[in-house]
Amino acid sequence: MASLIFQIVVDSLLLGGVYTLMAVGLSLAFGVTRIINFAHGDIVMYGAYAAFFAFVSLNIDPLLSLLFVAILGAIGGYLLFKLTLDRILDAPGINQVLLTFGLGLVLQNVAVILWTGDERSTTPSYAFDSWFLSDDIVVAKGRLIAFGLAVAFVVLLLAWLRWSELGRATRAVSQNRAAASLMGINVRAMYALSFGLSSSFGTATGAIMSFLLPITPFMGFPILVKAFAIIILGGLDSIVGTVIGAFLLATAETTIAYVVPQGIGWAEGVAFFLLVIVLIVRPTGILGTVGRDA
Amino acid sequence: MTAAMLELDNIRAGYNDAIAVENISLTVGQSEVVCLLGANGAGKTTTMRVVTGLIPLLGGTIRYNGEDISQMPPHERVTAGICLSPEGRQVFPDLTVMENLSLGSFNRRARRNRAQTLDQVLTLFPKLAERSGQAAGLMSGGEQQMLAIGRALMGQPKLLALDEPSLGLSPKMVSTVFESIQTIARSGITILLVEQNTRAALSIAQRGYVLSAGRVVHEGTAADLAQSEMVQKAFVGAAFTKQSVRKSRRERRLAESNPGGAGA
Repeated sequence: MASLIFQIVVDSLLLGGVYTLMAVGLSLAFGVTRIINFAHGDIVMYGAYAAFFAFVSLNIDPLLSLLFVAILGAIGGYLLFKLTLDRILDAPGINQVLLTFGLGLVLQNVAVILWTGDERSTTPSYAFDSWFLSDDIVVAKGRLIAFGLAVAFVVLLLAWLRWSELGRATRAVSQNRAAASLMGINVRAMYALSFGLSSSFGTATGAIMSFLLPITPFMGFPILVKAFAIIILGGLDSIVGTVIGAFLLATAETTIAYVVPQGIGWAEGVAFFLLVIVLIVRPTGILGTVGRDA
Repeated sequence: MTAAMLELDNIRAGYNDAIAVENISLTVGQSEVVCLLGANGAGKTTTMRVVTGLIPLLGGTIRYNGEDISQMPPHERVTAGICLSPEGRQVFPDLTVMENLSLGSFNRRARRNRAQTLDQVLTLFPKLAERSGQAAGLMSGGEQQMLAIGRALMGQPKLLALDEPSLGLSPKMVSTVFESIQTIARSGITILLVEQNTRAALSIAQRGYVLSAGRVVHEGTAADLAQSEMVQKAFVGAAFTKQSVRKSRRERRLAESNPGGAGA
């Protein structure tokens, strides 16, 4: 029994790391632009493909290509924003939602055309490795790496937001865009920057997912759905809230998968059950501010 | 009057389809303190928003130091030296006082002198130094107003725009804030001040414009405006001195006893 509980804790933590990676970019972009990027999952997918091709054709480990994939993601996200969303920032919110949703569909289908729907994956040695903490407690090495990177990314992001000039400006835009422009901050440029940064997190996440999940053009949507649920749990615009939401969801899913008979099937529904509960009890999410004044 | 720093020439602006100000022309000279007076909805705040670029100009021109800035985006106007302390203060509530002040000097020109400007602002508002680590949203209205003005000063303004600095403050706090504004004015910074508290505004301004229904209805030196019937009629509330109330009662009595007689 004790080892079961311990295994649940271990698995929850590791899954929470994966979920944090999926959601943190979405939360960052929303916090600044107030636009939910429904193409975020597909950006993750492109990161996974980039890492895959780096692995099979150039023999570069995903953990190494991650850096380049992240840089490409930043550039891609910035350009995507400049070419599309930047033109409709003054349009009603529904147009922006439709645009990002449409972008997601385009990205997905371009991937099908380019790379077919076949499942692929990178196969570095650590993808299959596990550690046994005791006779019956297992730690999957791939997920442990993902967990470590998630912690590192979040710490870096929070430090940047807290102490850098641009990070402070990012928080200012998130809280009050008109007042931010009165500080001499180019709000539109900050939108583009946050979108680029968000995409960079997305593609980096993809590189990590390349050895955890099967890579297909359709892998983005389930990732988006999970990430969406997590940031609503956490309160949409709070990075710390997002991390809490990710670990909360991971713990709930893992516990149900272990404890409830046939629980693995049920676990998939947990995200939405939690979502409904949180929206009833605390509509702003755990740490969120969106709609606080409304 | 010295050379005009800010010139509004027949400006028109509004929100969606509603025009809020029309044909407003005014000038603010170098190192001058100019106030805009008027009742609620007269167009004062709209004028401030147009000057700082928060809302688009629909007609007319805005010149700043001779340059046409009508289409310049707001963040570039800040870099050019136009800094606004907005109506309702608009501090960043979850950021600390110090972070708010640092953001005030985000623009490239002011960032270089941040430490020095910060010293000056904290000397002017010692309260902000005491509260430097506190979240801005948790401070009192008066403290937030000091922060909003201090934050605008951090941008090293050449033209400081102050929108309703006395709004929602206790009378004691109003005089504290206005003393600080006077100190700022003496340091040579040009000030464009919007106020409903006419008496406080005219006590520190050299000239003023009276707005009503989106137009300039009167202008003059502060001394003239302080005497003017027009100014007192343009408002309700704060501007109504006991004297003017008494006077208007007398007028009403006269009008009642003399129906059809020549009005005021």
